[in-house]
Amino acid sequence: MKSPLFPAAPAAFAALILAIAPTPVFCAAAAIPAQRGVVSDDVPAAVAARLRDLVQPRTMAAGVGRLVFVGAEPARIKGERSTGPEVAGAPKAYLVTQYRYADDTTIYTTIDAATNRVLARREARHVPTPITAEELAAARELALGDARVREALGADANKLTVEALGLYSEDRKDRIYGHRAMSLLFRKGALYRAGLEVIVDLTTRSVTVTRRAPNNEHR
Amino acid sequence: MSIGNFAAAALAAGLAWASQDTAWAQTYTCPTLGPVSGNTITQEFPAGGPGGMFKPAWMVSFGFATAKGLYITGAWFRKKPTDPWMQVIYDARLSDIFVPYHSGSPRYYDLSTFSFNLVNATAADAGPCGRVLGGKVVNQLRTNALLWKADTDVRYANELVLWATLGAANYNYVMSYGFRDDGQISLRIGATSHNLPSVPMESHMHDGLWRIDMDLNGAPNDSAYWMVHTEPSGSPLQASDTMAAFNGGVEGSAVWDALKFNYVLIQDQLLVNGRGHKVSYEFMPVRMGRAVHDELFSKADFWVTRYHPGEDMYKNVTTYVNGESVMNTDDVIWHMSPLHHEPRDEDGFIDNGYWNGVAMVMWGGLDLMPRNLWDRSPLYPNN
Repeated sequence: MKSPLFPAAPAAFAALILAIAPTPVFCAAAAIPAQRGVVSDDVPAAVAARLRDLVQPRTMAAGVGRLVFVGAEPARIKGERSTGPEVAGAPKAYLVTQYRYADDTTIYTTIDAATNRVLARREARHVPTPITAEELAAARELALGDARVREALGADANKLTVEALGLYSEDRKDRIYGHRAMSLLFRKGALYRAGLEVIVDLTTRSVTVTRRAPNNEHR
Repeated sequence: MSIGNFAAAALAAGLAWASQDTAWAQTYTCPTLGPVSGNTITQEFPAGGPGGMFKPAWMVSFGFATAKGLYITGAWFRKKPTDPWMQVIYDARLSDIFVPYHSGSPRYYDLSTFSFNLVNATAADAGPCGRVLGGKVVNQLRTNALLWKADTDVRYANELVLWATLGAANYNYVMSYGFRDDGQISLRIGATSHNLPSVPMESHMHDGLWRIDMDLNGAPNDSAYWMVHTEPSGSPLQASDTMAAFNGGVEGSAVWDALKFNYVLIQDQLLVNGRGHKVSYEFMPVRMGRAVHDELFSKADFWVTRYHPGEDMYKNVTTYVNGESVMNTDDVIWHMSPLHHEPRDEDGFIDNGYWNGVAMVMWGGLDLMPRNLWDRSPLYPNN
């Protein structure tokens, strides 16, 4: 797979790389509260909170020691034959997803809905795993604390909505391989800041900024 | 609700479109949407066939969740109210949406790497005859496509449609599932909204990565076949069609060839129609071309695997293929629907440092067409 961070420079874009060298911003290993995480629309908030409390430590180290509660979803248990919708009420089990920064591992735990018993647990390394709203908030804080980003955004910096696209790479040579990284977008109403690429790597807590000259030309 | 009543309500809500086409609005009566229980809709359709002997219905369950969008958790069909429900689908969804840019990067996985939610659906989304379920899902009964035409006779298809929109940062994905009164199912992904602001003029693909857990007449006893059209065949004027066990009858992949009109066919080995023919569904791609990327899963257009819990990530489908039989068992069909997006002026432009504009919707997906589900032309009165 090609690198999502360092492609061969396409001449057509005349990219102006302002700063390739990331700025490491390591946090102190202070204890932080367990996260609220993502709640799936099909799992009631109270159920998700209960599941989170079952699997998440009360407190944890910051930085790469973090264990993120990504979310919960109904775990479907397939029967041999179905003559109608399985569920009128609550699902029989839930699948809880967590992400461990230290070794880029996603943990899937199936929990019995009635007894809270763990039915199954498996771990997978280097798989795409949704970045949570809390991680986006952390990335936003890192990015807006970066002088290059603030300079690029100018006077709008604090007025913009920050959105993100998750990044994933299978290429071991890629700087984000095995990392939790995202590309940030900056939005003012229906308009997006153009020509600016801000990549935040939450594993190394670093920010990479690329600016491109405005280009309205296409094929 | 009649369109007149709706127009009054919509005007009260300040919706501009409500005043369009007054004459039409005065005469059109919206079709009746079926009852909803939890996340399950039961939709009956108008009677048809000889003497109106058929009155088809679908029962469809759905779910929607962060990082998953809208998905189907079961679909059952019956031709008349006295028939038992026949299961068709256990689960159908976009397992992921892969978006590689032409320069080689970025290469986004828009479902599995970020916690995107469905956007709230509004009355404008639902239109004059639809409704919003759960605040996110639009439910409509569409009646504007021809089912068949025979000289002066005609029947319009009636299609239960569920759709919702994933807000994927700058981009929007419309996820749509349609269930028609002749038993046909449509799975669609629509890509729209704002081009990637950092490189808004760079061409790219949006590959809808479908996972369809087909339980035709229940989970067991389904077999997968690969259909091939060959022309010329034998002589320059002749053609032929063949049906063979998919990948020799074991898990694997197949490359779609436009010249061969390929499709996957899933056939239940026990269920037959009134003429003794086995019931099948044909997986017909709706596409503008083929996309083959560096990623292994994209080297083929179709994959078929035997169902196992936890095997649900399209990116890993190659690791699920381990020689198990896909004949007379519980099959899962995987299909990539590529949308090739070449930016154009209609997409928008950079205005004072900001991207201003939206890309029109591009559609791709699959039609799941029944074969021998009926033993006569569906809802045609003269046979």
